[in-house]
Amino acid sequence: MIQFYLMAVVAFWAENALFTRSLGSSWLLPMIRAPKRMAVFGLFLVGTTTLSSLSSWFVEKGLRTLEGVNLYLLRSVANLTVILVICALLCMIFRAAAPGIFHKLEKIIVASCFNYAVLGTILLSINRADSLPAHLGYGFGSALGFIFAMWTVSVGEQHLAVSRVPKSFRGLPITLVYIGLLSLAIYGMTGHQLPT
Amino acid sequence: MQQKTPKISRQSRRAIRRRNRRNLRLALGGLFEKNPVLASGLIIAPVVVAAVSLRTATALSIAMALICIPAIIVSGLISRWIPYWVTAVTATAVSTAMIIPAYLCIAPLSVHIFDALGIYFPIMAVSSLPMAYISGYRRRPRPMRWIILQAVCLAVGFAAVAFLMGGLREFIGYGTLWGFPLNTPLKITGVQLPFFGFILLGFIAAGLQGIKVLIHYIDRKKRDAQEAKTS
Repeated sequence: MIQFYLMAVVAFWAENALFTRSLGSSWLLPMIRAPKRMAVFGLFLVGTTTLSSLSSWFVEKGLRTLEGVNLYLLRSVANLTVILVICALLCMIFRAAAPGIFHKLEKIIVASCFNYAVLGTILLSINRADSLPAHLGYGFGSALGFIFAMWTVSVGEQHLAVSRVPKSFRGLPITLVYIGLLSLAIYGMTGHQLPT
Repeated sequence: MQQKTPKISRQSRRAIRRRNRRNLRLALGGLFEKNPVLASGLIIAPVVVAAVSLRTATALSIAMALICIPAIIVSGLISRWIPYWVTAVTATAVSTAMIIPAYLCIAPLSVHIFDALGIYFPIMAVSSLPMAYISGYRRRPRPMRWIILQAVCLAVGFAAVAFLMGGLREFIGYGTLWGFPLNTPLKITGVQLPFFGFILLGFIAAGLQGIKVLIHYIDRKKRDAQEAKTS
């Protein structure tokens, strides 16, 4: 259990998916503009990331028994297939169980599965985590870290919306600069130094 | 007896010309107006983190072209007949399959290219770019030639941004271009970090937005001048 919490904290803070690796940045902007959608997306993201981390642990164990194969390529294809299967299963289950709500959740479920944050987290945790609890902790912490990042950026966007920003910088440009400054701040806070 | 081809009325010909102009404008949008990185904010992660040299920018551009173009074409083909989630899963399955030919095309660039790209090569298969266009294709289906042109323009637009970011960061960070050393007085290795990628991309996006604002201003002035002449 300690490994789970340790890896979760590392993934949440020191290796935050958005601020240190820019994972999930593509879906960030559409999601932060509606708080309810952001919350639902965050919930689904935690579920899909944790589920994918669990599946990828067993996939990786199987891949390591193979010899003379291109592990980099095979690992990518195998984990992508896992995510495809998880997305298809989630959609089929929700469509069968709650067809009324599924119509509203369809795009959020797809976004929470086909997301740089999910696949990136799986591929990173393979090198980071040696045990199943650490693997799961990394996935869980990474998803929570992304939700924290989404909330931080949405608060910043609200302040920027009422500030006097030049026309050229309104919208995406100033949001990117804002995320860049937060990324630099977190880089410094976690004890890194700029390379000399 | 020769069969006469039916005459298309002048109005229909005008409507067809207008529709083609609109489709052409939408297709070419991926280059500038709706650039997938600078305007739409899609596929930011590989450009911000991995585009740190011209070589990695080339690799990312090849990956984007080979992985995302087929996915966009497939989603344009099938989206009007099947549900959104099935289209998304199918498009991602096509992207997954295209990872192998993309890997074979990128490998000759450098022995260490995949070490440099890291996770940013395989994650191109789950890019949000095809998902962003599925809903548009469902609402308004387009002929295949316009979908292919749009996909190619998106890939070229992405490549332009990747090369600009990679070239600038390699020049400022290492004082080289494509590994060839240049006599630069200053090298700032911190530009290789993600925070600089975000800030540089923000400024480049602001530059594009500034150009759009200027074009819009010039258009408005022309229209006002024409209205003043006619009135």
